[in-house]
Amino acid sequence: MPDVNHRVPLLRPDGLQLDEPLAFQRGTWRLQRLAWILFLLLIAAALLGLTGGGGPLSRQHVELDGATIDLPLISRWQMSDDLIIEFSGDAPRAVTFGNALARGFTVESIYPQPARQSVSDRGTMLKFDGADSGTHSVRIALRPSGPGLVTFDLSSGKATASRSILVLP
Amino acid sequence: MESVLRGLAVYLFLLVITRLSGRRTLAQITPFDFVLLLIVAETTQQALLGDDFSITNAAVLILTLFGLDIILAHLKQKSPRAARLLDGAPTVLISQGIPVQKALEGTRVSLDEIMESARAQHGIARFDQIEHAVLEVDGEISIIPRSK
Repeated sequence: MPDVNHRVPLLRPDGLQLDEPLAFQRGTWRLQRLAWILFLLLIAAALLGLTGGGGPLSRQHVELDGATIDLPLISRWQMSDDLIIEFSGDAPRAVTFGNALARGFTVESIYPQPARQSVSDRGTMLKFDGADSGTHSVRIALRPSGPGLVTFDLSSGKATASRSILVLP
Repeated sequence: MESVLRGLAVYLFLLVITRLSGRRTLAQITPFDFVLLLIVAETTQQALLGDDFSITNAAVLILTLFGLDIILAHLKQKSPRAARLLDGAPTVLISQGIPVQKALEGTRVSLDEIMESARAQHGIARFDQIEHAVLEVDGEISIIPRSK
């Protein structure tokens, strides 16, 4: 195969000896303008939270029996995200997380610490002590184990909901 | 495996972004470009290494980046089409003393910048002393003065 890069460029009518592929150049400039619009759209998406790391669309809520859970919808690999449980009313302060959550995330910390933890084929149950029937918050720091979509069940009382978290690389 | 994939992803992403942002972005470094370059370098370092600061990870990454660079250089030598895609092509900005308006708009080069290069390269004082100006692949503006 001949090395085409060693070919001498053609002499242009204006006296310059260079290859200027005009159609390619114009195509590139058009593509660059489109890419700039795409950059702006991606920045807007990031501000909205569609790339994780905070933002109005980066989180989701689940209403269960006596517990409201605020958790990430879009998370980033190797970045810690909070899952916040709000217990209210007289319902037992217990939440069960499906096993898929433990496979997709590492629990970095739980505050306050649960009074009891148990594992079953449904997942991991965390039970917290509550002195009164007011509202109590529990913060769980989760760190994704790898990129991908993690779907798991959340249960409290008789209510169960399935939720997914998209982990971006 | 993860180090190689990280290296490939970051290298290719930076290559695409640099090409799509227009080659003027990283040519003729102004203080603003310098700040941009520093921030990009710092951000890239984090994405490349992740949490792994071991020598093995650094060595694998360096090998991946050099390997990719060698492969692309080989590809560019074999195929002018690939070279054009990866590096772009030279653009004539002034031909026989006449500014090529479409090229100036497309490349976002101003006549002031051309005059700056003309002064730096040939000590040219006036616009009518320029015969040709070409924006090279590396972002430099080459000036060919009008013969006296």
